[in-house]
Amino acid sequence: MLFNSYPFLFVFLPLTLAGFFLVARAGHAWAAAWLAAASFVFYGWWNPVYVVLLAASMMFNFVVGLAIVREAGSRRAGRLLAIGVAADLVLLGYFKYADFFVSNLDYLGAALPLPHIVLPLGISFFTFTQIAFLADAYQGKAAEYRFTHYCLFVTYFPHLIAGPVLHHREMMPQFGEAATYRVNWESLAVGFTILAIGLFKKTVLADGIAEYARPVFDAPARGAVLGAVDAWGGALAYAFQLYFDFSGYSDMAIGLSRLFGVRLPLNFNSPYRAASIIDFWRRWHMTLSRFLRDYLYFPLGGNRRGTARRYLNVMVTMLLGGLWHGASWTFVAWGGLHGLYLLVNHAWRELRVRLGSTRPAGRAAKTAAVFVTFLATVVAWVVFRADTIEHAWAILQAMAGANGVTLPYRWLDKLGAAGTWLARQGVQFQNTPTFGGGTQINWILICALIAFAAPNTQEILRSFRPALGVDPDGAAHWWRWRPARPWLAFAILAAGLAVLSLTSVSEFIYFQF
Amino acid sequence: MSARGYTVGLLLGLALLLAAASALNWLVDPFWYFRGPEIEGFNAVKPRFARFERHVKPQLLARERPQAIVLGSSLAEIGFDARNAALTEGGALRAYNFAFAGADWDLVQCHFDYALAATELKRAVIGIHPGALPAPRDCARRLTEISDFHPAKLLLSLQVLNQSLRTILEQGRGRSSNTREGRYLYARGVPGVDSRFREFLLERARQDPACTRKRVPASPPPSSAIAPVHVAPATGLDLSGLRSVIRKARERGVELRLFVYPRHALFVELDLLCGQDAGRWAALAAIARVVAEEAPRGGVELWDFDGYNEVTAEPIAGHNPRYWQDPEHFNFEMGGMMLADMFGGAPRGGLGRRMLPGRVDQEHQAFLEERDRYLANHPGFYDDLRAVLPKLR
Repeated sequence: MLFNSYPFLFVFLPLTLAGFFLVARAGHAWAAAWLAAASFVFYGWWNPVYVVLLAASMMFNFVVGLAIVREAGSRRAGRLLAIGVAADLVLLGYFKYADFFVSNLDYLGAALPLPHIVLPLGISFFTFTQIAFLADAYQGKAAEYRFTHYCLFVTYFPHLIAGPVLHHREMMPQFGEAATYRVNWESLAVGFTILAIGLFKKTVLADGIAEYARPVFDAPARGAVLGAVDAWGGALAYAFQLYFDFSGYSDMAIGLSRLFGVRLPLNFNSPYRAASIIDFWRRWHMTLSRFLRDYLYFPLGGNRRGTARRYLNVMVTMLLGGLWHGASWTFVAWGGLHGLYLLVNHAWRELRVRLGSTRPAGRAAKTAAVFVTFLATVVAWVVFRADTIEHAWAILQAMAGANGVTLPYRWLDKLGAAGTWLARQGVQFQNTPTFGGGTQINWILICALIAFAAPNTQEILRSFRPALGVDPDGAAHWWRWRPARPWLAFAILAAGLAVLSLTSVSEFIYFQF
Repeated sequence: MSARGYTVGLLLGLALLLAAASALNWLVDPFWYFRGPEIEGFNAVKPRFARFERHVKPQLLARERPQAIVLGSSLAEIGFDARNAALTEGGALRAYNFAFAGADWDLVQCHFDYALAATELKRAVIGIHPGALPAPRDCARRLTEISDFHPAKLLLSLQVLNQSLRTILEQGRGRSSNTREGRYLYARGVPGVDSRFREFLLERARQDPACTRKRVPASPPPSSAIAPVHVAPATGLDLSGLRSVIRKARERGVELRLFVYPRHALFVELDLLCGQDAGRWAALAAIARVVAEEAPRGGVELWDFDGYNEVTAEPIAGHNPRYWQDPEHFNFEMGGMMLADMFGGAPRGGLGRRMLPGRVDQEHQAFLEERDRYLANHPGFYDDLRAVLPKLR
């Protein structure tokens, strides 16, 4: 079930929410069980068969986790940890990477049939969440082992499909608090408002701008040659589509969880405002970055074994982080590209330290840094989104101007003398199906304005501590949310537009016969 | 304001907003789906229907369950009035124009399958182009707008709300894009028919590699100089899709009329000058043979309406044509004559030739004789051709 669907919003959510507080009157454990059961329904809506997989994975990890705790401090605990993590990775590898692995063997001449395994939704998230649990149990950081709460921790529907990646220690105490099971109007008001903002970002902004990205990324497969404006238009549209898609989803997860009185960790913090790639990864998919740092980069040695080893660890972490996003070489390349960016970023910082440059960057330098970081990110998104490395290369070449520049035909008249001059310089004026003209530019500008200049959801609701990792701050800003009529109107409008954008009826514009 | 008041206000406000949007979409009904009240100056005119017809027409078909349908591309969608007496047997059959702008042969077959499943069809008229008519590749993928449809999409939708508001604002246009029975009005009544002819024919001549002539001749060459004497059925044409359509029609007892999309005589003459006549008639002969093989006991007929007469050769340059919107898109007045020919209505149109496999050669000869006769009696025809087509390339 998707958050942005009628069945979820108008049936599942009201029933689950009302049921949770009603059942809580009979006992908190019952309410936790109700929420876990509802989460199984949420998951099984997509494919009931995979509920068994989720339940089996959960039972296995819980049992192994308990065994690790019982054997704490012994070698056996370490072996149990290794077995548990290996089993999780085998499960993930089988369901997510078997086709990828076999197709690569086939490329090398193995001629094996593709297993065509359907990827269970959210398997990366519930697997990583449980690997972190096993590691925390081994390190004695996981304190609470009630099965109902563990079950809820793994299956909790706000995070199940697309994160955030949770830590046992940040969730279990909340499931144990009595206040969680009482109706809290402030949490409901905050939760519904964040949900409305998230839905708006997803269905209005992300889905709205998506139609300008899709044709550009489909073009290389059709053999179409893209001009520079078309390619940049598509790359920027995709950069903002992904931004608002993920930002919207993260908001919805936080808002939904807050309805139940539970705070999720912050996962997204205006990443396009980052002034460096290091900063970008502190703002984009924050819980995944945290997981990769704590459970991959640090165990590899982190920065404790010299510069060369540190760079190697960064690159390995980013390559595997890329592969985590999907079973394709484009994701590996995307991770590698970001790894390279991070190496350059670290090297630059070290160079500045060596040169004794400790002066903080000025405003212009910061703006330039944000701009360069954003451009580097956009280039990497092209690799992330393209079907193949070859297609990504074709789009990047087009962005570099290899195929010249094409502008819509009507702009020739609109630009007047400038248009004539551009035409003489080789700019072609013809309509293409890969560039939406002024409407597309307006979409990109509006999205850019929101991403770069507007306060984000956490900043707006900061006074009410919307997520873990956001400290309350009562500073007075006119844009700070509070239960008041203007904000009520804003929330109704955002929610209304979002719900009305859940479905679209595609327009058929074939009129040339 | 309390958090409780805010929460209740948000949920109630949202419910009210959605209810208001749905009510407006239902009332305006920009795609003629709900068929509620039609108020002059508010929603009686439906200019936004055409762009969303692929969503709505299939649903209307399933709901209205017509017994007679027209299938094909915009040519069929513009050219046939579903209220025509010949098509409806004088009103005895419910009919609907189920043709779609931009529908290729694949899509036409998918729509035929859908219509067979959704209605109790008795009669179908299908437009074809003479050439290969292969089986469709993947109807499920082509018809996602049907499988994904839900009436709620026409109520709870920002996009539909936008179309509703535009419908209200565009009432001044005074004309819907389609008729209630599905006929598309396209450029009917819009001036500039001769320029549409000019652009179309010039582009056709430019894109035709067989058209090596530089200029329209001063006088019409005799048919014997530009057309073959005998027609042999084309070999190697993939007509598997056509066979399948005919079989399905026979199995379901559907009376099927296949017609080759007619062209204005200027277009026909251009193709003759460019040497395209032989290929067309060879394809027709092959199609006629398939029809005879698959429906030996009748029920399925193939008709061709190309010719030289007062309707198909209607003067264009400097006139306000009644039968044509461009060299391919004919008006329903001509479509009515075609239906009368195909279904034996009165008065007969007298425009068409029924193609039987043993008579294609004779029909071709008759067509060429008709041409020679008409051009001899209408010396102005070539002036018209030169007026709309000063150069061939």
